[in-house]
Amino acid sequence: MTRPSDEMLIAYADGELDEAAASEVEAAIADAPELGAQLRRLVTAGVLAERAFAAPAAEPIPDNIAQFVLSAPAGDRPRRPAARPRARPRSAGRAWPMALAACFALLAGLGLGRWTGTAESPAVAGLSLQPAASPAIADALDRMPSYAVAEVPAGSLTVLDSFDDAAGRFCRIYTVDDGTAALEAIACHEADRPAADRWRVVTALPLVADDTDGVFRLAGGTASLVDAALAALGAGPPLDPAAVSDRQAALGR
Amino acid sequence: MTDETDATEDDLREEMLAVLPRVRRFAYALTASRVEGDDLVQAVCERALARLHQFRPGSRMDSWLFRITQTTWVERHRAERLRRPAAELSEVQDIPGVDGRTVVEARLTLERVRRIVAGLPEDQRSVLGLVTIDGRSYREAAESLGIPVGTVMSRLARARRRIAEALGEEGNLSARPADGA
Repeated sequence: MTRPSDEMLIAYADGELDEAAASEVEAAIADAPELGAQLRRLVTAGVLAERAFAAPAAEPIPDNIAQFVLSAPAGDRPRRPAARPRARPRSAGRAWPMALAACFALLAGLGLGRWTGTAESPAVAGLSLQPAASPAIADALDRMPSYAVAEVPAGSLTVLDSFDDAAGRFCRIYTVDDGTAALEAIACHEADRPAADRWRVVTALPLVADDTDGVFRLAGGTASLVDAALAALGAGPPLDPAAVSDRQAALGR
Repeated sequence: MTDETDATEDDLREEMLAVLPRVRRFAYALTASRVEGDDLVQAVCERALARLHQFRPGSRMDSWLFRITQTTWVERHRAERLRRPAAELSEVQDIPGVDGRTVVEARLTLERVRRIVAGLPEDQRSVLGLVTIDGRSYREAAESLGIPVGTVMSRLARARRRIAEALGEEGNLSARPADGA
C-alpha cells in the first residue's frame, strides 16, 4: 500500500474522502504510527488556523457596515441599454496613434480573442484607446477615495489602489464596468497639462466577465501585466486614505 | 433611497447581512488584520450592492460574497505586494480563550498562527480561509476560486504543512502531539 500523501490525510480529516479511500487511509495509519502523528499535526494546524481567525464570526456586524448594507443605494438598474455613453467626451476624437497601436499590440499579443467586450463596444473602445481619461472619470479620480464606486457615462467606476510613481505622479488603479464589458486601468496625474488632459491612462486591460457570478476579473495571465506596468512606473506602496486626500487636495492648485 | 427598493432587494440585503459575519472572518483570514479586514468587507459590500442585479436569486449569497471578497482582496493586494514587505502584525485582541486554560499561551500561539498565515502565498490563504476556516467543502471552494479540486487539495496541504512546520520550528507548540504516541 502506498503511503497516503498529506493531501489525502487532510482530505480524510476534512471528511472529503469516500468510504473506500477513507478505509485505505485508516489502514495505512494503523500500519504506520508516524502517519498518525503527521495526521495530528496537520489537524492541529487546521484547528489553530480556524481559532486564530474565529473572532469576527461570533461578533455583531459593526453598525456602519450593517447600515450601509441595509440602506445604501444599490446599482441594480438594468444597465445594458443605458451603458452607451450619452455624449462622446470631447477628447475622444483626438488621434493618439502611438497609444492606439500599443494598445492593439498589447491585446493582440495576449490573444484575447474571447474577452467579453469587443472593439465595437463603445465603453471599451472609448476607454482603452484614449490616453486622457474621460472628463467624468477624471473628475471621479480627482475626488473619489480609494475603493469607492461611482457611476460615470461609460459605466460603473471603481477606484482601487492609489500610489505615487517614480516620477512623483499621483496614480490610481481603477475599473470601469458597463455591465457587458469592463476594463482595469491605471491613470497618472500630470499637473502641467491642460485641465482636460491631466489624467493620463498608462495601462488599460480588458476584464473578463465570469459566467458564474458576473464579476469581472483580469483574464488569466494579464494580472502579471498590471504588475509589470506597476513595476515599470516605479509604483510606490499603496497610499492610505489620508495620503490620497492630501494628493487630491494638491491637484486643484 | 428606500422608496425604489422592492421586497426582493430588501431580502437580498438581509441575506447579505446574514452571511456577513463569515465574510468578515474570511476577510480577516486574508488580510490577517481586523482593521484591514473590515476595510475589505466595506469594499466588498459596496461592490456587491453596485452589482446586486448580477446576483441570481436562488444561488448562494455566501459563495457570491466570498468570491467578490477574494477578487477584491487580490486586486488590492496586487499593488501592495510590489513594495510592502510582509506586514508586521502585532494585533493581539479579542481572542477567545481556548478551553479557559492557559489563555495567555493560547493567545500567543494564535498570534503566531496569524503571522504564519499572513506569510503564506495568497492562493493558499484563500483556500485555507474557505475550507479550514469557513468549513466549505473542497468542491465549493474550487468553484468559488475557479480552480480544480486537486489544486484546492494541494494548496491546502501546503498551507497546513507550513503552519505545522512553522509552529514546530518555533518550538513550544503545546498542542503538538508527541511523535509515535
